[in-house]
Amino acid sequence: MNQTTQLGGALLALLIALPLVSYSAGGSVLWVLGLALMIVGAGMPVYLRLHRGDSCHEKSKRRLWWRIRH
Amino acid sequence: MTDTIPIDAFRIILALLPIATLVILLLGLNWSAPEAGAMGVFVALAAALIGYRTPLQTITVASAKGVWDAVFILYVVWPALWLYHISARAGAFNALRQGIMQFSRNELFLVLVFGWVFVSFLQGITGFGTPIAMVVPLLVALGVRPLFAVAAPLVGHAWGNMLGTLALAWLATLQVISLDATETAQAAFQISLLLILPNLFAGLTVAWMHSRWRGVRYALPMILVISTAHGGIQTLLAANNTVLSNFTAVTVGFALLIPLSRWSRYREPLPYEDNHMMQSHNVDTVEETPPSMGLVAALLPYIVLMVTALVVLIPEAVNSILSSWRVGLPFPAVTTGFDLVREAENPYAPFAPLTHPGSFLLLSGIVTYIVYRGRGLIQREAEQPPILTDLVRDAVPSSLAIVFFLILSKIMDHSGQTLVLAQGIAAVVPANVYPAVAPSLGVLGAFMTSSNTASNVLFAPVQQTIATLAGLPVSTIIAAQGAGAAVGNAIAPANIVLGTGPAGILGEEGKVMREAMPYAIIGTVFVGLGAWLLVAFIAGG
Repeated sequence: MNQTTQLGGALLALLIALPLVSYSAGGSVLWVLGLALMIVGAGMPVYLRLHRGDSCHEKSKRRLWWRIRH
Repeated sequence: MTDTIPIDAFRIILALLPIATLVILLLGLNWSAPEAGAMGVFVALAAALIGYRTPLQTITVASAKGVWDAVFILYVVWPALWLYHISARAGAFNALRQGIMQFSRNELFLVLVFGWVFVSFLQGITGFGTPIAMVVPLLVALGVRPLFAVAAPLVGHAWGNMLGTLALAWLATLQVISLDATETAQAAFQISLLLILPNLFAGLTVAWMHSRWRGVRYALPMILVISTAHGGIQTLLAANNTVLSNFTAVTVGFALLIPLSRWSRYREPLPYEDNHMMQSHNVDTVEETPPSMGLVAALLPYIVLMVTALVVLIPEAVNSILSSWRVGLPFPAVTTGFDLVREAENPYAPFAPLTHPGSFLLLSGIVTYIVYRGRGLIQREAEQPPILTDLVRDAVPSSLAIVFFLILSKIMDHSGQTLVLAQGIAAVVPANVYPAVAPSLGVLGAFMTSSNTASNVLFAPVQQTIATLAGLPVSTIIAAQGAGAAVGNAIAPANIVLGTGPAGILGEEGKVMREAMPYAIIGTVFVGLGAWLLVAFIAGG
């Protein structure tokens, strides 16, 4: 599964969550389902980034430190 | 406003964390926009739970509202990218570049034409990010490096956000604050005054991006002529005809390109070759492949877009009939542990599909596709993916980033983080200095929401309260808010992703932001200084 497909899935989850939350009455469990979909949607890109293993890429870290120190 | 959330260092730091996360991940660690936006959402969520007593249901409703707000922008992104792929597949950008070079072979002039004047013109009528998505491919076709093809129009269009799109942001501002007729006219006039320098500076910045001081000196006459038209006409009309003030100004600015292009200074190639902006070749030496169509056919998408927008938006009768059909979703009332209440809304933020720029783009795409297809210009090579595949590949990451930025903004708003930030700034800044700082709130709002309108809706009521409490002229502080929000659009992440897709540099949003950042900082200083001077000398503060 390529990255566009995975991100597309995240987008779809967020878009499905929208009406679930919007039309859920007070006390309904629909909003809990909506919340779960939101977390899945937002979690996907973060998971992909961390899973890729370069979230703290050495070069980026060095550059950030250089900026902080200068 | 609420007085129940304690304004202390702990809560201010918590409220700053989501924005700091975005900036560090995008600029410092080069994360792509969807990745940084998603992480920002989690940080905002954690801050809401830890320091703002926000129930999960409030966070969920806020997130869903953020997704709904994003739908407005996605309705521009998808048709704009579709139109881009249709035009690219038909060879329209190559034809356009060659056609335009009949009028001028001066690359600096052409960069300013598209990266400042034309993008401002589009902002005058369309908005919602359409100008960025439409102009970036044109600049790439001219031979501009993708990084600058995104950064230049971001800077070039920013000043037009406040009174452009037929003053949509201004009209929305008037819905959330109460000004009498005199204050309304004063505020509109002062917004225009405050935007004169950011507009002039936008032209200078685009020239600077091209070839530093040499470019600035060479382009200076053109920049002075155009910025005088932009700033002067908008200021003259703002108080009495705010809705058409920006549109009239940018139309005159666009028309002035005709005499300017006849001046040998801007018609002939640049007398020097060194620059930072263009690819290895320049517009004059690029190897020509015969154009697949004429200039008018290449301009078809833009012509259809502009004609549709003018026919629908300018005549009041047509506009009011078409905008009467509105689509919106209901949302329940929510609150926090600090009694910050968001009332139920039914419908929440409805949008009118028939007068939305996304529909104009969609119509333009359909007409363009039919015409190009009918003329045999869209033919798929054996190994080429369908246009739809290219569209999904480019639009999905941009769309996700936009959704995350707006969810982040809504979580901050509904939990009270935005309010604490605004009140924290007001609490530590003395009243006589506040006018110079007021635009920063506008910038912050635009950065968070990528919208001048949303920034004003978010912060204009806060600004009004602060101005009243501090004894400052409300009209000037509101003007500073609006002008600051306009400048902030130059670095708004969701605006940036609108350009990185068509430019083919998805994931390089941080680099683009770095290029636009000096403009945003200096532009904010100009607006702040202007607002301070207005209060000190004109408004009698």
